Amino acid sequence: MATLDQPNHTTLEVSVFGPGYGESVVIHLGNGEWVVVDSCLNDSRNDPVSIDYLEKIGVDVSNQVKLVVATHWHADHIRGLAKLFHSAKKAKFACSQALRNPEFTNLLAACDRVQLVHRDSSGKEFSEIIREINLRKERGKRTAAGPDFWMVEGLPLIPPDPGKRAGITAVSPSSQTVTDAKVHFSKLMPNHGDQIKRFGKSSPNDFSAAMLVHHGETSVLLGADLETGDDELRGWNAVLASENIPSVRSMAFKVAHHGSENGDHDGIWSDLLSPDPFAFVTPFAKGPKPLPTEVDIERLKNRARRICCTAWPPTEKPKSRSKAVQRTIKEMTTFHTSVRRRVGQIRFRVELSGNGELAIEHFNGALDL
Amino acid sequence: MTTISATEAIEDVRFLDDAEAVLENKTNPLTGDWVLPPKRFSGSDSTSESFDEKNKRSDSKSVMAEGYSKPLIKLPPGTLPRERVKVLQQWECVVTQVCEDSFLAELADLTEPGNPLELAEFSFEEVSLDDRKLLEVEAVFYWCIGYTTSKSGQVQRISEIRFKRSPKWTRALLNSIDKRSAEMYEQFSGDS
Amino acid sequence: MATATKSDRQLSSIVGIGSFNPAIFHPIWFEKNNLIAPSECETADISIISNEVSVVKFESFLLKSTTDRFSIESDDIRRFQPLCDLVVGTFTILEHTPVVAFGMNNHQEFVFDSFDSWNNFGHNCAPKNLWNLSLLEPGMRKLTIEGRRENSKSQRIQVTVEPSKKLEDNAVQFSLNEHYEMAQLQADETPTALKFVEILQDSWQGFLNYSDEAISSVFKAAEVDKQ
Repeated sequence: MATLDQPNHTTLEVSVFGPGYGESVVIHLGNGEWVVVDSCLNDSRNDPVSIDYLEKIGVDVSNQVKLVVATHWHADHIRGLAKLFHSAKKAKFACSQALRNPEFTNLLAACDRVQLVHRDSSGKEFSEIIREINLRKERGKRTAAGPDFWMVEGLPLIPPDPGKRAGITAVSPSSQTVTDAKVHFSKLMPNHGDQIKRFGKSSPNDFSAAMLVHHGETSVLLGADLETGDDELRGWNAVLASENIPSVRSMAFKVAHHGSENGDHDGIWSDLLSPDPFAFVTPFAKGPKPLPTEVDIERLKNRARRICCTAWPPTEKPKSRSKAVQRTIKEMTTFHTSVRRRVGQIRFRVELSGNGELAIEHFNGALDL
Repeated sequence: MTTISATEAIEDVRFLDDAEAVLENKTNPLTGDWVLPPKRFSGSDSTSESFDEKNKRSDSKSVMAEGYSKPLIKLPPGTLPRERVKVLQQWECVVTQVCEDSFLAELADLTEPGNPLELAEFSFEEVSLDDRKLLEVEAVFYWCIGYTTSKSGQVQRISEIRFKRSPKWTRALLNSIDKRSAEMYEQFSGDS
Repeated sequence: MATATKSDRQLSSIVGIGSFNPAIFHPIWFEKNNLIAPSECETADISIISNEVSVVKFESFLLKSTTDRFSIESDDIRRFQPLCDLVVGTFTILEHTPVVAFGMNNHQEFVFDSFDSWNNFGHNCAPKNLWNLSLLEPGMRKLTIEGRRENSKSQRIQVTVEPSKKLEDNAVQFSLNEHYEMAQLQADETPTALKFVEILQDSWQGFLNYSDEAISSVFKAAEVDKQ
């Protein structure tokens, strides 16, 4: 894990964590105020990696984490999020406005109810967060029900405090996406007589909430899993056309959707990022092709000064088992690998003022591609 | 001190006592066959003899206890001895892609749950014919590797894929979701 | 140190107490509802199916039901998770079945390396100083301890240990029963069968893991090397 030092009060830090599957971004806005975006578990799979890191560097999670964000509900972005939110007693909660409809809670309740896979967690994580929000309301620690922020393009979550603290502004989802979300979720709900089966993922993923972390001319773009589809009013198309987001060019980019082509758009590099930006990627080892692919890496190399990846390669040799089991696996499968478990960290630090050196450090196996 | 739990897996001798429902001489409503032909039982009255020993001496599935004019159903004493299975490794798997003659899956280790997720590709031939129609993306299956020992002592290494079977959505299940969803929406959205 | 080797003889079962209709548990019903494969339906052995009692042997499961008790068991460890799936599927469909209580059971057997080790283990479980004055050669016949386990909604767990009836000498068997009372778990108007299924889904694998851990901890405390 990282060296045991906290950033200075005037240092902006963006730490990106990721094993072969999963992602979490921990941000120091300045002035000892922290924000956590999404969650994945640590190496031993028992705690959110964000809590691990913050406690190791001496941050009081209970008081200093001011905001917890769920960019969307996919399992690789929210594992351990409920535990994190429970620990961050003073934190507000933000999620995508696209989830604010009864069709989504219908889907959540259905996932909760019919747990086809033992380890499935996304439905339960969100249900736990809702429970925690409700508990805090009952204890008088909050007045409103539901999340503190329903993220939509242009919504400021935390305003910048010049010289002291960076701000965070949502750049997605677009209002069209929010409107379309109801129909989308209702199509996923089963009907009477349908076979009970797992719910598939939607594509393109434009419900995801991307964000800008900004202070003056210093900014970092967090792309979450936002993708580009055909619709001009959704995804990255909508972000690029928006007049509601701060017009600042970011020096660093947490690349969207694990570096995939679907998560990319020429306009991101020409309009939203400064020339020769730094690019940070979390891999995605599951699915037919691990991301980023070789083609993705080449494309990113042509656009960014430096590409850092939290864990590479995203898969590794499976754990060794008895000879009989190994032999059988070899006979039965044409391909067998294991998702990399070690959670790498890319830590980016820069002065809020933009003066002074910036520092990029790698921990626990993160590296430059 | 404790009492015996009502939900223990009790032996059939107790089950038989509980189920000593004396039945009419009737045929199996589904197949039309005699359910159990009545036959006279002759046993000893030793107080120490176990019910299992009585079972062995009876060569019929049914007994006619003295004083009864109708068949008394004797239930089988648990599973019959057959091949034994030693499982070395088990996974719970989800299909992620279906190709022309193979499929990809992610594997969660059930034997050592702390192990990381694995990915593997299997040929269709590894799937039994009954299960092939269940093979689609997001389908769940169990993969098990081990040894079987037959009644004669023959040891064989086995690898078995078995797809999970689920029923259909029922109205009651959907209704229970509607209720829960309405509560969650009120809590989550702040709209009432 | 004494050694106890786990035998491959293991049994798990799920038992429900409530009000059942045994006549419905025909293999054809299970197959029509996509709960078993067509081949399993064809090879099922029906001992009896009637309004009062049903007993059906599937390839890997034994189902027994009376009007107030339902149980399904398997001695094939490959089928322990499918066993739970079958019960979940069955009572998802039979959503109106009143279930009053249910239990999960696991049974494992171990062979000790010697008579002395086996005997010492029995003595550890049930020390004889209470019995030596009134009995000659007292020996433990059966011991049941009841308690609860962490993070479980069950009312109790009973762990029973006794000399194995089925295996050779120097063997012991452990039987674990985790018992749930629906009246203490129902908070709303969800049908009890659906609540039963929900809890079972959440708890089954945990119970099987717990059984292994509980037995291991007993052996560890008794300084027996479990293999």
